[in-house]
Amino acid sequence: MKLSEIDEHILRDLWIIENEVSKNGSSIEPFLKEEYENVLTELENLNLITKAINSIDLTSKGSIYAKSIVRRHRLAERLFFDVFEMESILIDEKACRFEHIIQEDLEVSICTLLGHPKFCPHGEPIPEGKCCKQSKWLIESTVRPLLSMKKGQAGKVAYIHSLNEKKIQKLISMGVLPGLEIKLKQKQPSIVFNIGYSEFAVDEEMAKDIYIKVLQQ
Amino acid sequence: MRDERLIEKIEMTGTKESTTKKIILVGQPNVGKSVIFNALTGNYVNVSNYPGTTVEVAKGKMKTGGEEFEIIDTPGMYSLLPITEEERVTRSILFKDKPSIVLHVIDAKNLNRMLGVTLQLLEANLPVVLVINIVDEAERVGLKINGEKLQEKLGIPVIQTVATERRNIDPLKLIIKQYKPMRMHHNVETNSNNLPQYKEEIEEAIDKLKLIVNHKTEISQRALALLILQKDEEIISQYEEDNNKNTITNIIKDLSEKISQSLPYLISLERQKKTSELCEGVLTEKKTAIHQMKEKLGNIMIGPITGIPFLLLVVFLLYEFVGVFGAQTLVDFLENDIFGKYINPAVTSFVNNIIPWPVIQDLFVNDYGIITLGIRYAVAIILPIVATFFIAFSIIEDTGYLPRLALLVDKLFKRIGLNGRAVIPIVLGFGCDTMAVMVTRTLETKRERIISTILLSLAIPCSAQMGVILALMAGSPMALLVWIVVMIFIFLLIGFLAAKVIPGEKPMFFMEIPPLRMPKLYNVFTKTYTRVEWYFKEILPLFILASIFIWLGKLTGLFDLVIKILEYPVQLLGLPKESAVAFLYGFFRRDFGAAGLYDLKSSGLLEGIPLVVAVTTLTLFMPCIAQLSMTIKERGLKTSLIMISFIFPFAFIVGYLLNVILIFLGVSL
Ligand SMILES: Nc1nc2c(ncn2[C@@H]2O[C@H](COP(=O)(O)OP(=O)(O)OP(=O)(O)O)[C@@H](O)[C@H]2O)c(=O)[nH]1
Repeated sequence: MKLSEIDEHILRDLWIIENEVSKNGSSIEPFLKEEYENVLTELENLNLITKAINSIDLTSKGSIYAKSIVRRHRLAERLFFDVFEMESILIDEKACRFEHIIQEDLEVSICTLLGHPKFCPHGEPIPEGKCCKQSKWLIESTVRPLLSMKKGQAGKVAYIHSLNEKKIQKLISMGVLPGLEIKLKQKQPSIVFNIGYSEFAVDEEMAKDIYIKVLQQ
Repeated sequence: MRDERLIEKIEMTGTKESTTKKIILVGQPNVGKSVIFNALTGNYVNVSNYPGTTVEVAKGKMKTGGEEFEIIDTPGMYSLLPITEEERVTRSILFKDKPSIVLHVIDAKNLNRMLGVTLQLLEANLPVVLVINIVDEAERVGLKINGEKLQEKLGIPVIQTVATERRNIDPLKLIIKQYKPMRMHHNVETNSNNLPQYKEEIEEAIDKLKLIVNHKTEISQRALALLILQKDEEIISQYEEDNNKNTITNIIKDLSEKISQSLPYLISLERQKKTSELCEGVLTEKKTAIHQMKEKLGNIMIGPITGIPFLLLVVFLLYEFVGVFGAQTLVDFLENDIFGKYINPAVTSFVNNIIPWPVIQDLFVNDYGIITLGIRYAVAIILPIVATFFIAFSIIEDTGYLPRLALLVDKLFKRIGLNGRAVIPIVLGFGCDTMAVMVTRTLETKRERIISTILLSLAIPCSAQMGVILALMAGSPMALLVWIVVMIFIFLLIGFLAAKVIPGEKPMFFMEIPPLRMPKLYNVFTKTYTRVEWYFKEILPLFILASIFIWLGKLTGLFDLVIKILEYPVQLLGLPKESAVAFLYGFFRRDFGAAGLYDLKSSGLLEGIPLVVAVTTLTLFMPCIAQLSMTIKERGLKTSLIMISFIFPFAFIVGYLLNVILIFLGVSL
């Protein structure tokens, strides 16, 4: 089944409204306009949504499909941000186009390359894929958690992501900020890394939210 | 000449205060603030190669060119948005003391990382002078900083120093003397181009908040607004009155709906960008070979396999120096030769000659006299031990080993509700538990502070006591081994249980590992001196007081009564009843009690199992009255009382059990 970009965008937005609505505060109203009539009917025929007078709901099949678009969109954002280092204002728009051409095998590769990220650059969660569960850190993973790095490996901080503000603050105070060079010195009994000319020791709890863009040796 | 000018000024301005300008030293931990403070004032404050050793705020005076300045040294600070108690202290000094100059001290090696705080200080409209310290180490790794260029970019005075060699300290004094504030309020508010500009949404929120944060302080509205946006409770609470609270909450809520990332993170990113810009053209790097030896040694210290053997080596050397040289050789010399042969006989005959009444004689000399007992214990037994311990501790501290030890024990300490950072108070406790309880203040959570205080009170013998114990058990290594095993077991058990019982946040571990440094003789000496001095001021009166109490108690018969009562529990532990006296002393100070046991042993009354039992029980006691009062001061009366009512019965129960078990097992010691 191959859907058009418009179809996919609608599905994506519907999914976000259903699953993350509290955050964005948007509603389905815009889709109730006439111009969407045809597209919605088509989606209904494909058994992806169910339509009533004032509501549109994703079917379970539609939900799965939509979730994967969200996932691809946010992975694409991560890719542009971490690997191509694009400005964050640009990436949403670029990702909107890119998401449609990512196929499943490419999706797995990108996800692995990025170290199975959990959040997009804007802080929205990326739905988990099958490859994330296996959580393999392939040698070709460019961005990966600090904890998956080998002793002696070096890289640049890609990002930190944590819901614990205090922890973020502590990491910031150590200078763990995107772009700064970092080298993992040892992992046992505590994690020790160098950043700039300073050396820090942290426990796993602190280290697990640091993501590194690994430099080629 | 100088005084005249001072008087003139006083007359002109009316008050003396306005003539002494305040200068505040701030910076991240371990950048050399204390060394600079000393260099400027000539005073001594604690300098150590351990992040976070400035616990109290030190104040001193500096005179230069006829003008007097007040210099204030503050605890290390990573950011204006505080995480720890010390950072909060430092910030409130900065915000409330209206400094004439803020000396921001940074480590030259980490310019890129530390300039962020400079930017924050400038945002807050503080009169900053940037002191780039430890330039020598930066040069050694091939870093060069163009100070003039940075000065130009930042628009504030910048100077590069090597505080330990006094390099550029005099020019720094000159800068202080000639300093004129360059920044004006409006300058910061309209945001001049050398300060970071944040995302549009954030800037909008700042503008909205500026309407609320009026000029209560000299601090810029922009900085206050930024702190509020980062949910700084303390600042928010200052502006909470009236309807402001809702407005503030709404602005924050609004913003977090637009931006789902953490605000402190975004704001720091922006600052980091600015910092990198500042470093461009200012910082030149030439990769040089790193110090091979130091690097290797450092790796050995923290390696998973080599770390523990290295620690054991350190403990062994410590034992040789403190336990053998201090507690045996030196004590022997002072106790037997100096006091035994000279002072005691001389003083005794002198006192007995001039004072005819035996009752008064007993106050000063004989078995429990102030001089023959109190001062003898303090000077002949305690002093050499404490002094050697503090010498060793200062050396260890200065090399930078302690943070490395912290990361080594972190996992173990987590089990007992602490984190690696707690090694400082714990290791310091082996020197003096009173000092250590004071230092627990640097721990992050209340839970950790309580747990470490309990462990210090219960299971960490201070050097004085340890010295006496080592001397007591010098002849029987098996007894010593039993004692060590029991103490470690209790330390872990109680820590483990306390961690289970006491509610609160689980600790997280993060720590900067400073480079290994060769200890500076002068530094080690002064540090030992100030610590021993502090110690003596704290304990000598106690010793004298104890002698007087004992004298009074004996005179009134009260003492005998208490000893009679104490004899029962003591005998229950299988100890000779004479040791009741030692336990009574033990309530004053653990080492005092242990020294009492020492006398018993010398007279052949105490050995084998009873010796181990007595020593163990006494070790578990609260260390001394000074420590008790410090605990009350730091933890509050209620918590302290709960601790005491646990500790004393617990000590006796452990003693009892140990006795029963050792007899049952038929151990011969
Ligand atoms: N090589 C070198 N070492 C320095 C210099 N200044 C200070 N140190 C060393 O750096 C360590 C830390 O110095 P302190 O003065 O205790 O640092 P602080 O900033 O007061 O630290 P806290 O009290 O922990 O906040 C000590 O071991 C000093 O000897 C310097 O210019 N060059």
